[in-house]
Amino acid sequence: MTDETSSAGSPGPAETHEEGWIDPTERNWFRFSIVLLVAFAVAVGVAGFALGFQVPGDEARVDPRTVADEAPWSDRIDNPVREVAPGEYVVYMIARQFRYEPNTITVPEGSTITFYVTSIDVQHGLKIQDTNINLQIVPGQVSKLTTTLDKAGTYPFICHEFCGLGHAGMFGTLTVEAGEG
Amino acid sequence: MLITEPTYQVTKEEKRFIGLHLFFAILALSIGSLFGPLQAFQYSGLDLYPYIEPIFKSYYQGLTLHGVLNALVWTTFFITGFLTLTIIKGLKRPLVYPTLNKVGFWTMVVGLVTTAIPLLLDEATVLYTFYPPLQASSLFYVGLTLVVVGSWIEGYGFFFTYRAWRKENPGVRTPFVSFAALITMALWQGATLGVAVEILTMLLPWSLGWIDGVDPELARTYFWFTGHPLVYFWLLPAYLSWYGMLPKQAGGKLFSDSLARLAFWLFLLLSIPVGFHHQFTDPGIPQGWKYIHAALTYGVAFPSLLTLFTVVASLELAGRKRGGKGLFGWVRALPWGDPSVSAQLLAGILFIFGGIGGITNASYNVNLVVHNTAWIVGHFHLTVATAVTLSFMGISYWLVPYLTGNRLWKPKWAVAQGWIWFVGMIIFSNAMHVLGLLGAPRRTPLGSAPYVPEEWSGHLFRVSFGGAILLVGVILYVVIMVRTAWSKDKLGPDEQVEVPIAEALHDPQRTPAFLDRWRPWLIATVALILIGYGPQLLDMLLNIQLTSPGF
Amino acid sequence: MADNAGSPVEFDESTFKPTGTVAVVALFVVVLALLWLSIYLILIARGVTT
Repeated sequence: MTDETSSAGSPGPAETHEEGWIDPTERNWFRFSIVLLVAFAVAVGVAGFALGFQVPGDEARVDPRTVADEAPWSDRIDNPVREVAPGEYVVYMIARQFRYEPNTITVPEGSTITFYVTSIDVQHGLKIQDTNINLQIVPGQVSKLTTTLDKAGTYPFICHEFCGLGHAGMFGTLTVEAGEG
Repeated sequence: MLITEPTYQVTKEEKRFIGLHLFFAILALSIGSLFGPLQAFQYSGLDLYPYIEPIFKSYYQGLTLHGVLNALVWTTFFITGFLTLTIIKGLKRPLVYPTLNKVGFWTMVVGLVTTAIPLLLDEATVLYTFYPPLQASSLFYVGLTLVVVGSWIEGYGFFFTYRAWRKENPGVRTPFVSFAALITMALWQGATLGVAVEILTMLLPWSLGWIDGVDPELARTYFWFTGHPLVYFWLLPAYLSWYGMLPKQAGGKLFSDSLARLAFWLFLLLSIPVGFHHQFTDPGIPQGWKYIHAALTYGVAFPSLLTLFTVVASLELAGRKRGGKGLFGWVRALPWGDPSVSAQLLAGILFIFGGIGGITNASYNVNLVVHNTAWIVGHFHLTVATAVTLSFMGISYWLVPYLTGNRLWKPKWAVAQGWIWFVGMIIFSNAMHVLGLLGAPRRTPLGSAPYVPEEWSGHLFRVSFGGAILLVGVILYVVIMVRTAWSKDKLGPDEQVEVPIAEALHDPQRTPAFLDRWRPWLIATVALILIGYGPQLLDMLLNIQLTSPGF
Repeated sequence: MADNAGSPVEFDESTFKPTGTVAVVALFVVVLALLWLSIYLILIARGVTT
């Protein structure tokens, strides 16, 4: 028991000693915690806005009932990967129950590739393994993200949002071919 | 000190009312938890769903039941019951309008039943996030609305009771456990506005065919307005116990009354305008707003860091009073043989890793590594399924004997139960975190997914193994609860269980007055929500496109 | 480190210094920094996204 006691009937005025209400050790932890959290915020902010490790933003809106038949998505099967500049590719993709269109994508090693993805039915996900492409696909919205593929290999891309009974089978393949660059 | 006041004797009727909350909570947990292992076993190829197919149609129906019953029903019913007790016991007075609270409670029960019907009929297999345009039966949305409205009404009952107490006790610091309960309920009232608007303005009229389509991104934004503070609604009652009760149970005192209160205010202030951290990979939200929410999320991590210090220091004081020596000797000196204490200590230990994972998830671009992977599932099984659930299990080891007057059935088994949960969760959760980093998606029966590589199989097996241990843990918990509640082994007059309410090391009257005033904190909370959500939400509303039909 | 001598009965809580707590939170900060950094490095290793 501490010595200071005051009876319940007479609570008395609040003694707001500026020094008294935090233990000195805890005060140091209080300050250190703030420094620590600011350090995290700076680390992710610098990586995001200066070093190019960015999350998707606000891109464009579409009508999910008609987008599949409208350019540039209407051409997605015949022309899955479009080279817009040397080494720079664009993919317009539709996610639907329970497949991606296009479902196989091939680009040369060292390519920069941009995905514009939307859904014509429910929400889906798009995660390309071993890359930072990770998108929530929402009908009515266009998800956009760009990355550079430096290592040749096969990268499955996977639906990571529950989209119906066939969800677990929804995936596609991105192939990065060695050589040409 | 306030503890010199005579205590209020909770009546038989009040105890029965609180006990009814626990009955529905544990009933939901015991059904919902059966589906967890079915999912975990499926991961390593042991798919039991075909055997129960006459009743349950798919993995996803099981997953929906698991999420709704465990994460939404078990928590909400336990919390409203537990907070009712902390209001009455802390303020040392009965509820002013007990009928109001009864109306709230039975509204929740009606809502629960209404939700359960379509869930069990496979008419609402939309998972517990119910993202449109997946469409559930309108009964599902009606039921959820009733559960939320019922919990609001119970909250109003608390607020009226507090107002009456304040008139009777001007100038007195609100007793901590009641203070914490009031903030938890205030947080809940504000937070649930998101889903309330989502359901009432879009999902319900859409499921009834009154409107043709919804705007799915707007719906997600409403959902996560509620979704993040929802996790604080689950967590704060556990914090209430760790700050306000566990020190007493362990033989110590609350190390800092002031910082405990400050932490609760900061949770109210910061836990709502952070929802975009669940939407970092979403389209339709500018990066700048996402970053602001990331920064505010670091802000809401701050009171949890304060909690770490204050709770550990309170326990250290307890351990030292029990003769613990040296830098860590006080840990061993804590009463690990008390099932309520050990369960909560183990919950707290795993929450350290839940917290670290949470800071990782909130870290803006770092979220690209983990979003919608098994990592997230591993994470929230450390938070809601351990920090919260194992703490609630620990609380019920004194609460049920207190409410019923019965002796706890086999206390040693109850101690073992906490450890079983702890060990099972370490195995399960670690495997899920690793799988997530390897790229395994969440919400997916990985045991039958065609893209799963061979090198995941060891981790998938650990998920199943951990799930089996957790099944034993939850069965043991339910058996202990049932055997205690329907026991004839009454506690003697001098063995009665009391509600453990910890004293503070320093007189709460020394706590600065601004930490016991509602107005400035409520104004700041509303202002911060308007700043954090206002512009983006307004933009989305002005550009609303109700173009998604149901699926 | 045994700066807190004294039997349970004699323990004087008014001079209590939470030294063990400082050790626990220091340990926590090290674990937090290491785990967080390991995930941050996975992000960096998987390449830029713009």
